[in-house]
Amino acid sequence: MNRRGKLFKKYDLLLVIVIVVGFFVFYSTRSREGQSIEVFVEGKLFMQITKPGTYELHDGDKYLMKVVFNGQKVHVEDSNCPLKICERTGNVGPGGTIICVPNKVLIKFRTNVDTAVDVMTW
Amino acid sequence: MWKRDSKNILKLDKRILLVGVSLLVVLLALFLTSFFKAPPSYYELDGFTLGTYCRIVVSSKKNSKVLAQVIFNELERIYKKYNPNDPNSVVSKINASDDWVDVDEETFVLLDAAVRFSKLTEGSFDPTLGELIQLWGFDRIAEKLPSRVPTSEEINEALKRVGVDKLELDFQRRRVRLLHGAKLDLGGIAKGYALDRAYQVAKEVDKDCTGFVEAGGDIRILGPKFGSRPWVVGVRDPRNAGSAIAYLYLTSGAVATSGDYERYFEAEGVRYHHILDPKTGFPARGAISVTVVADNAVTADALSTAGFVMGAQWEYVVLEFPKLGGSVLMVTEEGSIRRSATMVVYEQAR
Repeated sequence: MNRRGKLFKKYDLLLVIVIVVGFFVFYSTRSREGQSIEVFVEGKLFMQITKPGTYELHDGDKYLMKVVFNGQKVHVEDSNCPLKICERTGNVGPGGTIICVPNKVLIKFRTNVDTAVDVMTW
Repeated sequence: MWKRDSKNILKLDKRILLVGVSLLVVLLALFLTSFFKAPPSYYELDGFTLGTYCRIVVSSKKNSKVLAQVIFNELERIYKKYNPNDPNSVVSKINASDDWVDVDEETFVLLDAAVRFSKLTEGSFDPTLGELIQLWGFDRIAEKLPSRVPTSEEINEALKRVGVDKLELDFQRRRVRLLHGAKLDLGGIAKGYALDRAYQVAKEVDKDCTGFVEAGGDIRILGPKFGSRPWVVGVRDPRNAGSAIAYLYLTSGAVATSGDYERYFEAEGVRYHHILDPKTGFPARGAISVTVVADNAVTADALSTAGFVMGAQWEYVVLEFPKLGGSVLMVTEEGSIRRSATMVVYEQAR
């Protein structure tokens, strides 16, 4: 009994706690990704926006649209498409999407925060 | 014979034992985390087909990525087959003929369903609006919409070629015929049909797959989220795209929305949208958004269009459409939300 008691001293237990807590801190930090705006053109990732600003999209020489990210929401300020649905969509927050069918552009506001809504009907 | 000596354990280096215990704790924690955490991961495929954006979110014990592609291919097949702007489509073939046209079983069943929904909704859903849609310019999805309102003469002329009575089905010989220059446009039902086909092909590949398929805001549920939870479907605020006016909790079935905010132009301060009233030839008035939940996407799609057209009679829509299999949530022109009593079932988180 006496020898078994010596096997796990106070500091040993502390070491176990440090290892376990350290692992979970590393694990949770590693799995956390910041929010970003992903722009897809014809299904392919075209641009990833992580910093606020105004970004112009060009497909080769062809101007497509101007995307504005203010750090919290994203919107299309100007588009060459005839329908302008993407412009009318307005500001979109985390989890939201902006779609331009004629240009086949998809703008996704990625976030690791659970937005509660899986999909929108419109 | 080897004799077990429990004292040997105590002779082991203490640090090795400590690290071992730590690893065991971590592994146990990971096991418990994965056990209690939702097990399946969802593969997501985004694409453009059916004249709109589509999103496939699926989880399968088989290959989810392959399954998503199979579903997308099926949506694309339906789009090519029934796209009135594709000269090689079945719809174009029927529209180009003033005689009987032999059609395949799939087309015949779809047209029969369209006729049935037209009759059930007293003509508010109409698959023969092709001529009228062309007149307004709403058929050209990739071009700028005209901002000219057709004259009354033009509309009256087009209305002569509208009406489900101008679509004949020959059940004996599986052929169809359009009369008096009528033109098919299956826009109010083909998307729903494509979503139902997506469901069917998905279940043929893996009957236990879960997820959903969305095409332009119409959604077909493949199975509950993580096998047991409802998918949370936000109903878009028709005047504020970034927010929702209601939330639906679905583990099966389908939901579709018709609104006046996607395809429209304004002339002299009036909004002219793409959902036309077959009786007047003008954009339907009374509602600005109609959402329908049904067991299948064809019903949801057809009834959301019909409900929108009948928007001025919202009492009829919210009371009668559940008898046709659709629960309704409507936003009227005044901004009031009207709903079927049956809609409450889907608005409660379970």
